[in-house]
Amino acid sequence: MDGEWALVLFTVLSQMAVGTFLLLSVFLLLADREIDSTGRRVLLATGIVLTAALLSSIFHLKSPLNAYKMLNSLETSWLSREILALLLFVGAGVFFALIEFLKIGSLRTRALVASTAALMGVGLIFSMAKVYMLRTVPAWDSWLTVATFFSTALLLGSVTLGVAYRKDAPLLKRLAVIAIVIVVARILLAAATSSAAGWEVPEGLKQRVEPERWLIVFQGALLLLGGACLGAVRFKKRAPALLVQGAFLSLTVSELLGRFLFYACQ
Amino acid sequence: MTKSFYFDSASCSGCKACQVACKDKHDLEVGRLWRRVYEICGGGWMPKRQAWENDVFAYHLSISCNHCARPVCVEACPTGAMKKRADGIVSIDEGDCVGCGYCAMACPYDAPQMNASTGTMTKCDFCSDEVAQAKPPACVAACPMRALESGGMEELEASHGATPAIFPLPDKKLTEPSLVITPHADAHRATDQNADVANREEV
Repeated sequence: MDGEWALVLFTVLSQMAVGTFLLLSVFLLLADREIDSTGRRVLLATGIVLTAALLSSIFHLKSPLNAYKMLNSLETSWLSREILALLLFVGAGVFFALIEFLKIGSLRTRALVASTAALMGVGLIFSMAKVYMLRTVPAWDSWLTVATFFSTALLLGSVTLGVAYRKDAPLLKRLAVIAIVIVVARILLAAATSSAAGWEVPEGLKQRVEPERWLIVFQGALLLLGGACLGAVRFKKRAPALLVQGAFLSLTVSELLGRFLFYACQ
Repeated sequence: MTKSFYFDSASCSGCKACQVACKDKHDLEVGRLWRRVYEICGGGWMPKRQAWENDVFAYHLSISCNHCARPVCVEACPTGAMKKRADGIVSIDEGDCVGCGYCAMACPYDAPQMNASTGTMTKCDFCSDEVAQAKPPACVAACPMRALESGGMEELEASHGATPAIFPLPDKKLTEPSLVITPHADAHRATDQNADVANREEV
């Protein structure tokens, strides 16, 4: 498990960034709404989160000076494809942020650029999931990996955007619905298959560390707590802002722990 | 001719001379093992009529890189540092390695092993220098039980037969390893009698 924390941070944070960017594009630009000062702050925050993700991915490499060679095997390696998708997302995202901050082009043009960047983000998450869907690692080689990565993006994207737009009640309630649906789906999945996150450690030649039981329980408890906060945000007439921040914090920690467990069941 | 290994699990005494010879030849530090000897143990006290009978069993598997016909490490490697050569040997060009560890994640045999001091992945190269002089790899030469052989896959399979499924090796179909094994007489009991690798801390 040594060194996997860098990958936990990289995957969760980049998925958070993609999810936030995607939802920002959908709820503002595609709804013919200008990005306000809050939206610009979200864009900046997304950039910071993405930078943190990039740094942790570089720290994970033992010979980072060779990193420029990572696009050499696009024909066979999903890791090469993931890096390409990452570069495309970062490039398109930065380009969008530039024209957005400088207000270049019409709202429609900027919406088009944002959609393109969001599409690159979708490609990034898909290739990220394919990286782990190795035929030699049965615990990862299933649609659950794709579903988990995309749901992490939407879950953390909606709570991040929720924290930013906590005073915009209609938007906040719509974001809460997305997050609640994902939390419920996660709970049902965990109930249906005791190894939903794959913590049935398979036998094989490789040394495997059975994850600590309390970690699994703690992760589940944080998911429930986040879900409860979101429920209150959605259904209470005037939900205190603290609930949105509580949901953000507990779900982010829950996703980080969940990803740690994902790597543990390799 | 695809370079392949043959291992006779029925004859292996688990002395680890192969593992040590490999470490010695390639000057591998503590913890880096291009060849590993797994001890698989199972069985225990079983009730038999009015008594309890001991039916403990154990066998060994000496495993290095199997220079697979469908090497998942080569497919996974993002930089192209991991290559399958024309003679079947899967080798790594450390100058191109980025040290991401993805090959190790993909390989079900634990063959790629990180050199912590250079930050690059390393692995069994089938003792290419010895093979070029028509000599056997160091592990094969060292085995006192003559339980290891090297040669072409077809010739090894012709003389020793096809390899059945052996616990805890992964399904052969996944990577098509260039490895022929004669299983130990008790290997078939492993899955039913809670066998496990007994020397995890060593491998």
